[in-house]
Amino acid sequence: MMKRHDDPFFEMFREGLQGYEATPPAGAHAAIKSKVAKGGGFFHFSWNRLNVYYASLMVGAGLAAMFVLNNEQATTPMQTAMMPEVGNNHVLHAVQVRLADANQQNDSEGELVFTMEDFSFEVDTYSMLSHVYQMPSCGGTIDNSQIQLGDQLVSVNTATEHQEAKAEETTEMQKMAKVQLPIDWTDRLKSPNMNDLITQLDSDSETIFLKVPVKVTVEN
Amino acid sequence: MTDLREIIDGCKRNKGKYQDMLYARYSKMLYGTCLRYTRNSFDAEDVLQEGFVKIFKNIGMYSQDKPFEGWIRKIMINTAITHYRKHLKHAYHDDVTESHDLSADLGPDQHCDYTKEELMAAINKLPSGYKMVFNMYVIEGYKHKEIADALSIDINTSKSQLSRAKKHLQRELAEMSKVNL
Repeated sequence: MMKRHDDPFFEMFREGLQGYEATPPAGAHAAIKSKVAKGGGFFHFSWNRLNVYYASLMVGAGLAAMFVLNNEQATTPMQTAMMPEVGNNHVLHAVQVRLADANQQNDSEGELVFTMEDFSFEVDTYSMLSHVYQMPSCGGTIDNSQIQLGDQLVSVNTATEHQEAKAEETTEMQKMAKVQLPIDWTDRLKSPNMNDLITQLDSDSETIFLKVPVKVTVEN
Repeated sequence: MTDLREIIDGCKRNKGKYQDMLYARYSKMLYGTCLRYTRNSFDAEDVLQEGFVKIFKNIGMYSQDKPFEGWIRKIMINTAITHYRKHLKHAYHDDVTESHDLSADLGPDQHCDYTKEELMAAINKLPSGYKMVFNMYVIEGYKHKEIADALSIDINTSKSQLSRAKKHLQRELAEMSKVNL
């Protein structure tokens, strides 16, 4: 074997530990498969993993959104509207998410369709909606931290450290986004908090609408 | 046994069957690497999981002209470095200007027959910072400049930590030898 170190002590370790192997814990493989199947990441969204954590996360985000909006009301009357689909053409207007694509093996995966009128902003992934972004999409594709919609490219902040760097160049806003789901997903929204988010049930189009808080970062 | 190229191609197509094969083939080797870089088996498992997710996500970027084993090991080591840096505040850390009284120079004649397990046990007793530098320099063959850049430390700190790691290990192995006598 070729020596790499002149120091025999170092060489002893290098040679001795060459090819050192150990059997990983039994659950490691399953955990990796789960992360890979769901797009990876602790904060990844999955409908079948809605649990107390996600519910509390959503409630927390909702409260935070209300808090920020209340503060905004005090200083900027023009931004009092919570409804993203009205006015405000420089922020997220509505986000539609279509789930339960029949060709998806995993229930937690689905199809994304984003409806946005202005792409000149970045959406922060701390928000509830960030989980939605990580689902495989058909209407739009997700490539690393960007969403391709036709010929439009939307950037999504995925790294937490980016937030600080961009703080001075951007303005953050808490908004509510509308998420559209097939009606048969109602049964899957097991969390009571999730049911609270349902704002509309449209039996004609067989869709339900959720309102979820999102944090929108607009480039100045 | 399935050809490695076929496994890689399968993983590039995101096929679970081939991902399982890749895991079966390399998980032991990579977990061994993780254990060298982390404080305990829990951290090692975290790094292993995170590293494998990165491997599967980025395998499309792997080009066949490089050795595959080196590529995945590099990903795992980078993951371990990131993990270490994230948990740096909990790690033992000191600087080149600190004490130089670790004078236990036990001589180079120690390289008798230690088993892999004994060498690993000795490495695992090193403080985290020493362990990182020692692994990167001695086992992986990084230069001090590269280590300094990766760990955001001074080159001299890297050198001094290596030197201290060596002394720690010499002392540790000497203790082991005494016990074994």
